[in-house]
Amino acid sequence: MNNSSSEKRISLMQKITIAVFLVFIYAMAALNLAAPKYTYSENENRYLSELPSLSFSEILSGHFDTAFEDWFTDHFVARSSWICVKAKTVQLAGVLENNGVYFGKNGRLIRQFLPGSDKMFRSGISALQDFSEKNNFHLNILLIPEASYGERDSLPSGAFNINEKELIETVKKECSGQTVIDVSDILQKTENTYFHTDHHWNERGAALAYEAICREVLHKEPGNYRYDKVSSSFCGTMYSRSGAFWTKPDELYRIDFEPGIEVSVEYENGNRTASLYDAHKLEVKDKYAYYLGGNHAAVHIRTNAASGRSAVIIKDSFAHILIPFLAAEYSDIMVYDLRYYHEPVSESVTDQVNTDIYVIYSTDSFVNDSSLSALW
Amino acid sequence: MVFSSLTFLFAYLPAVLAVYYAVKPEWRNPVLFLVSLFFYGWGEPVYILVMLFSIIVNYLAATGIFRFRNTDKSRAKRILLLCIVVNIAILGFFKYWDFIAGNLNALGIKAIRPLRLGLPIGISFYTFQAMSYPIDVWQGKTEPQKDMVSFGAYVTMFPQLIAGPIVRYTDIAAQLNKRKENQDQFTRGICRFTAGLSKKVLLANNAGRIWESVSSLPLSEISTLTAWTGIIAFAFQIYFDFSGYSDMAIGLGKMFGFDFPENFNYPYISRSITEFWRRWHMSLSYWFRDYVYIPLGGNRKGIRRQILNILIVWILTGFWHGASWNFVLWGLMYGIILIFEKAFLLKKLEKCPGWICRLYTMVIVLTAWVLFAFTDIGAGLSYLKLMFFGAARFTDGLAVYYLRNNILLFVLCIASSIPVAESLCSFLRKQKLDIVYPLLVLGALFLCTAFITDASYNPFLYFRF
Repeated sequence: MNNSSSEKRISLMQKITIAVFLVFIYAMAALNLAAPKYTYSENENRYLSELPSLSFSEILSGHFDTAFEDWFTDHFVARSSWICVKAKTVQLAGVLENNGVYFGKNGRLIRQFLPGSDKMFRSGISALQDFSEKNNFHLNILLIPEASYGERDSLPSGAFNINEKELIETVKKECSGQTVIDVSDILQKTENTYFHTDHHWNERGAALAYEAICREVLHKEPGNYRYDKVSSSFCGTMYSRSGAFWTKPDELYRIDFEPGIEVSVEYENGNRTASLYDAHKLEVKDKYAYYLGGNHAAVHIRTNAASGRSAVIIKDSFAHILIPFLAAEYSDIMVYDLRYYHEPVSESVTDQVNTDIYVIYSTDSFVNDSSLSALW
Repeated sequence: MVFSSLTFLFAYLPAVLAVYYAVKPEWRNPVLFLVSLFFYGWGEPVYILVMLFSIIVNYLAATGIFRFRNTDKSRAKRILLLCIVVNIAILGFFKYWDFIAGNLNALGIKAIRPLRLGLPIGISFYTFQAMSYPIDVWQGKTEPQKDMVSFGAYVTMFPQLIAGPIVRYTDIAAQLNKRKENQDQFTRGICRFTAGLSKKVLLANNAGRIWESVSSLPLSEISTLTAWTGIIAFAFQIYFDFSGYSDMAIGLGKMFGFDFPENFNYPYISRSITEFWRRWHMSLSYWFRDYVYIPLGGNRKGIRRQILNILIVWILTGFWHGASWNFVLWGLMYGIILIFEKAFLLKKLEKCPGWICRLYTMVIVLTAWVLFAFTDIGAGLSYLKLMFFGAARFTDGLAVYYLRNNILLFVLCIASSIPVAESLCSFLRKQKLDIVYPLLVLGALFLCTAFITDASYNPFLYFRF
């Protein structure tokens, strides 16, 4: 091969490289200008940035640049496809997780649970001890493991999470005077007790806890219930966070007892309904809020259950899908979420003999959420 | 605006390239000056004034020095000294005022208050760069630039404004006055820029995630292996971040017809610390050598003076990296090791097998990175303790997880730290497989765009609730 043909080849290669580069940046720039702009990102559960106004004071303030760049990036053409490409690339590169969500087996997305400080965990335990001691309450503590324990057979090999079983054992030991309901083993042994795309357990997981409560607290046989599918397009929090937008959505089920029970539900804001389910929430992104209408500071549920017993429940959102089961067993249930409810819970226990007090938390909230220490 | 942002890639760069190549060559320096000022003022509108002040001072000083250097030498020298003082004062004021105030306060002297001014972007780089010009004129290394706009284009030039390399006026004086952009250089620029972008976005950012995760663990959860994995990830993060940025700068420079000096030359393959500093941030090391070490007398005034000079240079180098004591300690540590190497260690190392020399170098470099990474010296020392004097466990599931989860990343980082890509390129050229270049460029740009877009993805989720 002579010199000039080699030069020609190199020159051609250079022309192609330049063309590729320029076409890419100019085409993307043009597409981006033409792309539609949205105001809300459902996956991120937030409003996207707005184009800052081009005023002299705005520019001098030095905030124009970041505001503009936020806007530019938030509305970048085909943004969610790029995010999906990144997630897929990471997965193909052999990385086990994206944004702290493991790519589990069978399309299961499992939240990673790395060790953190155990300060909050300790203060959670002593909050429960104090609450019980001061008021002379007996507590029924249900600590629900995350999917990282309950579905650990679905974890990719090489995944690492903290030992949740150890956390639960510690709570059992430290709260030996209370009833600690441990469903970790049964959840782990039973298949499909958590959503694939969300961090919550599902109706089947909650049913196992209901059976355990019947056995250990109520000392009776569980009632008869059935599931009715209400949605098959639930893309939960782990779906959003992982960027694994190729994952199949989950199904949601309504839980009904035979014979049926009537309920009246009153929220802290005065709203009343006659159902434990909020069908409107099936139309929005976070469909888990179908159960008990999502997060509320306080919910008062009255039922026609014949037990005559009451329950006071201090909980995080894992409890929402369990409450339809408990509604069959109690004629009066007070539900408190300490992240929003700052009044003394102890005052709502009027008849100690006929009231069961529950603390229902996922291990994650128990370890990472400080609100439990505000229990009084 | 950083180069690894969507705004730069898909708005600023296309616009600037179009304008630059649309105008006649004689207008290209003014265009470059204006778009660079825009780039700078984008984030810091008010600090444009600081930069313009610096340009004017150094331009006038150099003109004055040139005028008097042959006729009235002492006058020229006074101008030079004044100019250096002004430069240092600008840098000192913005970068070190709060540090000095904080330390004085700690000593009970409440003479000055911290001002909490934002640090003007790139000020450490452009002051050094601008200052080299009057000094070079004084030393007769170059003629002064007649055109103030061209000089302004040199100081503000956006590719190297923020993070170097520190381009001296003498490096690009000829190109500044007359350059011929061409296809070959432009292509090299694209490849270099894309390589740098990939280093930053694909390697540095992901290595940074590991370090972020490890350094936020409670100390009791860090095993010895986790500690080493974490600091190695930090070493990769800082190297690919910094050298990636230099590559992008050099690449962009080429797109506009400039050849900037190299800044990194595979520092992690060094066989001694002396060699490491000839390969790491070269433009800074040479700057300190030429403008501090040699003027102080270098090695020409006896061994004691040489040791002192080395210590001064390295304390200043450390301090240049940040207004905090840990950087001073970091620089001092290197200064002391370099003195030992000069005294006898280098001779010993020469007799050792290569892998021992490299191990020696990397252990020191990683130790130094710990001092660098923790602004709080106490926290840095606790971390070093985990590395060298044992943690509760040598290894655990978490350490294995970090390695397993990032195996490909570590392999890519190691491969990019040794000159393997260069051999690959010459192999491809010999095999006439040049066609993979455009494909690589396209693939890298595509992936980088995905990773940059993803970085803005902040699911605000009630995931705990």
